Amino acid sequence: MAARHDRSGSLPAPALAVVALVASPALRAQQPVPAPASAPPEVVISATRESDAVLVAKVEQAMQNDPYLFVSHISVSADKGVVRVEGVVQDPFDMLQIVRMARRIAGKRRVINEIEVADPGVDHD
Amino acid sequence: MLGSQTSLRVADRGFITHKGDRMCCTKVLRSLVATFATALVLLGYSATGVAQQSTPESVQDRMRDLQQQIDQLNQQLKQMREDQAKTQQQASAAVQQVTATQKKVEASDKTMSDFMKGFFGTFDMSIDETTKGMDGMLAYPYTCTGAGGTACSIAPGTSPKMTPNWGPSPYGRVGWMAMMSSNGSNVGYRGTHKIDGTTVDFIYQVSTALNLSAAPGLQDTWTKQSNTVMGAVGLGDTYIGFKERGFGTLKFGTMYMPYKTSTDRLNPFSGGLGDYSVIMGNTGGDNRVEFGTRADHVVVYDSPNWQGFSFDAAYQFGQNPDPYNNIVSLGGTDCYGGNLPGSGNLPLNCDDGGYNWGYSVDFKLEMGGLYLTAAYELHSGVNRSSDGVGANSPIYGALLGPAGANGCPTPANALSAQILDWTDYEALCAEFPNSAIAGTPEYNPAYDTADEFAYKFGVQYTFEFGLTIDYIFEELHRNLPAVLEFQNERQRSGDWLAIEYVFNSGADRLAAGWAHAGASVGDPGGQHNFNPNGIGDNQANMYTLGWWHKLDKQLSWYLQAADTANDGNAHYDIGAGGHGIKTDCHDATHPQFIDYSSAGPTTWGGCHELGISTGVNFKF
Repeated sequence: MAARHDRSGSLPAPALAVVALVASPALRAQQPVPAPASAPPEVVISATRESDAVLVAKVEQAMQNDPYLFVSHISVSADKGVVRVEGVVQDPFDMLQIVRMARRIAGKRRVINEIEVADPGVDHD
Repeated sequence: MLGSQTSLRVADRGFITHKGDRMCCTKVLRSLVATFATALVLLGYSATGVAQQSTPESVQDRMRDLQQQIDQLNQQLKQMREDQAKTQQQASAAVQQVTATQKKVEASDKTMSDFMKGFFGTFDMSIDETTKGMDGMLAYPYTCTGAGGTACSIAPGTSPKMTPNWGPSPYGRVGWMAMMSSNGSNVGYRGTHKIDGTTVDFIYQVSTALNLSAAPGLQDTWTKQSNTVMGAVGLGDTYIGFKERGFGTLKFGTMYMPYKTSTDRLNPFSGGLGDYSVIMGNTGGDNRVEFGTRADHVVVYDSPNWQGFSFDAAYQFGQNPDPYNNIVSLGGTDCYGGNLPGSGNLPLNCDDGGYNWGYSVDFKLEMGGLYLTAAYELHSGVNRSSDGVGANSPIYGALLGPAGANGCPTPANALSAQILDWTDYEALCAEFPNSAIAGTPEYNPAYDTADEFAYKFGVQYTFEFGLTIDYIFEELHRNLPAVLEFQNERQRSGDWLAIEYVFNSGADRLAAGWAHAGASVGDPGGQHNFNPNGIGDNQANMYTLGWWHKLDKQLSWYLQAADTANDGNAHYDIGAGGHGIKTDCHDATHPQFIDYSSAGPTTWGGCHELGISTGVNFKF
């Protein structure tokens, strides 16, 4: 660990950030931490997963059925009832409408908005 | 003989490769063999009687012939069975091949579908009718005093730029004019590549801005000057990077910085005449948006979203070898800040806003219909030497003393001797006296190179019934020494308020907006009709209305109007920030000769632009 630290000390900050970003999840993915022997068995509530899938399907269906909403670059996911919409739109209005619709379908559940607004503006005197 | 002919025909048909026909023929052949054998038995019985009348040799010959025919038929039957088995094997292999091909086609279709999905873009074209609202204005109509109370050297109603053709008022067609404008049209491609064995995606995007109404080329007109090329890849957010859900996103390339993107969603008029960038983030007026211009050589980090909270940070590499950032940064095309060298009032330099490094950060919180954001951005060492020197304003005339030996002016006072670069000016005057006399010394760069920063707070509330309200408060700041504050037009406050309502099941929306530019602490007086007695008389208000009607998911029509009312010394426009053609306070003056002071158009403070725009927008 100390050796690694010494080697990376001479790298520029952006390079370190990239290395950290790529390497750390890789290590996590390749070396999963085993559960402690005394840990209780994992309990999976299938109803939650099913409701997530249903929730996603409902949101996606509502978006597709809306005759004025362009969602070709939008994806929807859900985790434990939290809905996440992400992707890119080119008009802030589209983003507001998508989030508004997702919120309406999700009801009291949280909606995470990770939609980017791609502005193509070019400005010079 | 009949049997032989029949068997030959069947054998011929046996070469037909169609599986159904082959099976059909086999059955027929079997039936024929059975019928023929039965006939032989019957013939045997009947032949007994005949044999009593025939010779034994002839019967034996007959039976031998028949036996040969039976053997021949059996041989053919065996061959056909072998052919049938072979054909079945071939058919089975063909089916497997077809299935494999179908899977390949399906996989190819999915790959193509995924590939095509990466393309995105907008086509937007409008017809505008706008006016600059500057008819009847008069150059330097004021009696004035300049810095230090010195009398202005330029008489009212005159201007160094005036010629018999141009006169004391705005030159050219500055009233209502119909125009075609391509607005924010672009094409881009983005994608991801999963890095094996990790939870990290490699991400990329290329993008370009398009001009749908004219041939591509440099963005270089008499008011808009840039080395960037419309239609070239990179004239749009272009980057590569890495994304991991728990870590966030890291991007490297040319992109808008968080200060701008944090409030994009509060701008319903994006790309229109009434885009809030007419005033917000726009220091000094005109068409460029200093705190909303795409940045080169930038690293952007977007954090994950934690329960509605997120933040973004960006760093722009300076990579400018000049200590006053007066040249293009290494690897760049334009000066930082958006212009090519020489586009300001001084020639061949990045003295109209060129800067070194910069950084930008925002914080965002979204809960239900509420969105809150705060953002900050800094540009280091912004060179503004062209901000007024050489623009022939009366103030700068007051800085010029009597002519020296070369006919060029000398410092009028201690202030002038301190802030203007007389050494370079006198050297130029010795070599090119005519050009030098037509202009003025530039600033000593040590004085007019300073950091600029901006911060803002934005709030948006989205009601479920279709109403959205937006508000932004902004402060722009330039760290100038006191000696130069009299010309600091880069420091002021700004406000934006908008209301938007969507109705008719999402098919229609209406919006109204108001932007306000507060008074700056100084004014360089580059305007042709600048009033030096009215320092601070440079506030502005922009009002805008819009109606958008969606024809389907991708195609919409819009109608917008905008009105910018400038105070006497202000010169904000309509259309800054994304509209293809801006309507600003410049008249049609163009250079008659190359001079040291300015080759640009004449700016008229207090212009009152109005415009209406209707067009179509298609997204994909």
